Amino acid sequence: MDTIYIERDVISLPRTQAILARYPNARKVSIHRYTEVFNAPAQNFRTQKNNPSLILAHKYGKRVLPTPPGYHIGGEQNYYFSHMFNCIYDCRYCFLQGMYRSANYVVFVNYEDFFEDIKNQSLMTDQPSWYFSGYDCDSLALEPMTNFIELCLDAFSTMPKAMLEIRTKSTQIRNLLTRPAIDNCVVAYSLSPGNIVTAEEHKTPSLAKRISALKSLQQHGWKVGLRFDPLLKAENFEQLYSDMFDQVFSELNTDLIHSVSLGPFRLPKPFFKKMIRLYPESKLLAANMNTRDNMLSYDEQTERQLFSYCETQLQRYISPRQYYPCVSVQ
Amino acid sequence: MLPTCIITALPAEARPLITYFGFSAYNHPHLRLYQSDCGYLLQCGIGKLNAATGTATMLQYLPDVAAIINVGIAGSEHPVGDTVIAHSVKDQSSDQQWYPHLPPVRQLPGLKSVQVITVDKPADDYSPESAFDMECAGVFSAAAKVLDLSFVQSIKVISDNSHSSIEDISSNSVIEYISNAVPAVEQLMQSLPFDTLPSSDAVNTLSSLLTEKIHYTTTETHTLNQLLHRYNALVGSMPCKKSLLNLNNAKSIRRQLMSDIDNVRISY
Repeated sequence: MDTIYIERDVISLPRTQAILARYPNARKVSIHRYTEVFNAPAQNFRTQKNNPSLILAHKYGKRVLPTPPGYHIGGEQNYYFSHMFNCIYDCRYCFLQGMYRSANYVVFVNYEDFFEDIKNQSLMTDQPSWYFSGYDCDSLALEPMTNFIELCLDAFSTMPKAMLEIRTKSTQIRNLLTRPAIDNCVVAYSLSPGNIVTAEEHKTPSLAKRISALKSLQQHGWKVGLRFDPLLKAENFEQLYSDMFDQVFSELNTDLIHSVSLGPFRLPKPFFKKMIRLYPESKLLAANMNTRDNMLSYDEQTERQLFSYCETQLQRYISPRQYYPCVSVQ
Repeated sequence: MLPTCIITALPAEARPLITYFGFSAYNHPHLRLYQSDCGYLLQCGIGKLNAATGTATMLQYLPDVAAIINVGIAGSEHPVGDTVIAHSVKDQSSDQQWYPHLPPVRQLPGLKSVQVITVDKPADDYSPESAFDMECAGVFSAAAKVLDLSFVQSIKVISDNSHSSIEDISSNSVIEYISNAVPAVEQLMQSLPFDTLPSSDAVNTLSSLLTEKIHYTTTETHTLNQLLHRYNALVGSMPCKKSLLNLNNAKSIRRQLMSDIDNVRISY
């Protein structure tokens, strides 16, 4: 990191000082609230993505929010939380490019407030409740700096009715391999065919490396999930995806996979408009799309065809109880 | 490197930059403007209002300017002659702030960063965390309406502090200070992230050709540019201009491009 902005309220915290100590040569800029930098006008996401700054802040207000309807892997009470905004990866389909003005990373250092809110939420019901990490960031990519997941797992180990999903593309799994697995956690990898990873998921680990990480996690006793998301239309779609499924399921213990899901390619229209201005040379964003309910997506027939093919292929490898269909494509 | 405009307030600040970068006078009825291979220099005059109006007028007159660097003297509790870069700019009277997105540290070695506070009258309550000037917020206020803040920067040279009064500043000392800061200015210009900007040259060239020969409304021109970008992204080259020109009207060209785009198949 070359520039680090620090809210005055958190500057003296040991966690803040530990993060700052990792970057002794960075410029340190004191600010009042992260929003004055993160939400400022006259920013260009694409330019900043080349050299993002770091913002260390305190998250006030609601830290645990309900997921959109239909977003679940079997639970009835589903929530998400974001200890961090933005991601070190640069996937061309990612909605973050359209949602945020800034590509700078925001890390909320008041981790314990997140854990307390999750605990309080989980105690409001007798049923298990699910908590999804990785909505506004990759859960593990900056783990060596933040150590968030390590502490999060400590917290969840005391909350047996709270189920955690760690969503990631990262191979930063050291903290997971140096501790016992906990029963109420699923480490879920977003996966795409290798050629799509190369073309559209810039700076991410290869498909092979993600599979290798999944294998290590599984062998260590972690529950793993596979998220084939988003499904991208291509002339050679069937070949790409069947090869990927072969590669993935040949390496993992299929019986022990917790859950598998498919995700459609969808973007809110305002986000899409911004993204195509940022990346006019992107063939993914230049392709024909439909607008439905103010969302850009492939046409319904194409979407169903992609899903139908993948579901048929998945039946060769997993049982129905492992598969969580995407409600919005049914 | 796209054209950059250096903005200074005083003639003494401009002089060493004019000499080093080979600027020559550029005719404008109301602005003191200079031009060279690297871009332009604007000498806006003293004060926030002159800086803002000068910057805005310059950007209107020179739409190809892709970056702005405000260069000048400032007061701070740093040694006189030190060069610093602004990590934030604040207008003291309104409390409005801007945060330029700074280049990597390795591209500007040894350059300290401070908050530049633009004041309406000279101030002398110096601090090492900030530097007082009288123009920077004016430049940023105008520039941020047109350019993103990765391309609006400010370099200041310390001219006064608690041991060296503002009264001791002379034209010759300002010339000397800015002369010593020229390498930092040049390094900053070279580190601006122009390579991250998408290229629109081919689209703009073809679009200009088509809109010269055929009548286009503003909306149609916008749609044309979007379609040309999409075609270029999907096919990997621009469409044949001759076959588009043969179509004779905007609607037919739009339909042809949309049909061509529909027929493209993406493979990975």
